Amino acid sequence: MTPDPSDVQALFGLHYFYFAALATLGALQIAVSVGGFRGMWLLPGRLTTRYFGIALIIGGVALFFTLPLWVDGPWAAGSVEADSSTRLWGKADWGDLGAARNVNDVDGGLSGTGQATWFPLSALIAGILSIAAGTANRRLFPGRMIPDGDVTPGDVEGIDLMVSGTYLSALSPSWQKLKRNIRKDAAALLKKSDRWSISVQIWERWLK
Amino acid sequence: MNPIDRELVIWLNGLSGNVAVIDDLIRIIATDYVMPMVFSLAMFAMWFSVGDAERRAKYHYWVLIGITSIGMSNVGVVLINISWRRPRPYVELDEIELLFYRATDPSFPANPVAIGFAAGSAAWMVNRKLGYWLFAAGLVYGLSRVYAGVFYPTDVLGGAAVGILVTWGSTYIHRIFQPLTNLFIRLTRGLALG
Repeated sequence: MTPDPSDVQALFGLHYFYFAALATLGALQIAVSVGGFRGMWLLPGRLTTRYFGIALIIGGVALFFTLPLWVDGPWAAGSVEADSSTRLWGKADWGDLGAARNVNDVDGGLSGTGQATWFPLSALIAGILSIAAGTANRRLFPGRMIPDGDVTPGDVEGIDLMVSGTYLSALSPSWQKLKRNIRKDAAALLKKSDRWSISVQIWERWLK
Repeated sequence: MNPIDRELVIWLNGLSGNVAVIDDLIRIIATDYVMPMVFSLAMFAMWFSVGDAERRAKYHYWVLIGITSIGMSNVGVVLINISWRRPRPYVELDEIELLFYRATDPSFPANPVAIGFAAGSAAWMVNRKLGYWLFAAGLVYGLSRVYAGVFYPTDVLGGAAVGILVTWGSTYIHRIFQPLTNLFIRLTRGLALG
């Protein structure tokens, strides 16, 4: 029996979410290890964090493309051909793996809009996990989390405070500084904007 | 039909069917999932990868332009599709051995390549090396689809042009709404995320 596109779409959405969750977590770990933001490291060391990030991305790709071996879907062995509308429901063989995920979105494959929904959600979860792990690392391995250079909390704000601190310790001073300076910063940014900017026009015509 | 286009797609697609592992690898590269994930991860990683605050603000600005460009590329492709619905190579040419699903949208320009070049152009403005890698990824993505029989080479070139032009256009979209983009970046800094 030909699979119902809505079943296929639900399955692809779930599998893509696994893939995106691992890959975004991996990419975030590589990025924060390069940037030096220890407050988001999953592991206490810079290089171990980076290699772990690479492993997470590879793991995400491997999981996504090998799941058809163990999970029933529109890739039953023998039915995996270029035309995705004639697939049968079942598990794939090793020889089918290359083509198993090539399903048109009209037959239930994940559309660009679907991916644009799952990716930010995965990125959000990766961010929360990284912040939680970074906080745990800071508590469990305080000696290994000392930054290379001097960081004076009074001078810095935002993510720079996570070079040595946790997210929660960075949030409060950053938010306070934003609240204190937002008018001044907004005025400076408005001044730097093009004359033909809509915001500049609205400001000059009606708000000034 | 452009004879060079025809010859190239028949030649590249004709290489398929000889080594199963290569066909499978190209099918995986050509999926709707791997390369778009690469482009999205590049934008995501750019946001967090710079230690220096001043340089990071520039990265943030171009990441936001990159995200806008990726979205606008789809709009650009749809607008071109309205005026020209070019049939896919496997529809027009009997010699083509299709390795991919039967796409229902027009062939020109290659939407996935447009997305790759949009992300690549934004990255190139702040990090030349990353930009070139993303351009290369976009090109490989496009050629994998030519190999699979779903795009002509000129579709790939058209997609690349759309991606670059849309990124250039997106800078103006952001400038029209300035200082909102920079205020958003300032807000993320206040939330300790930028």
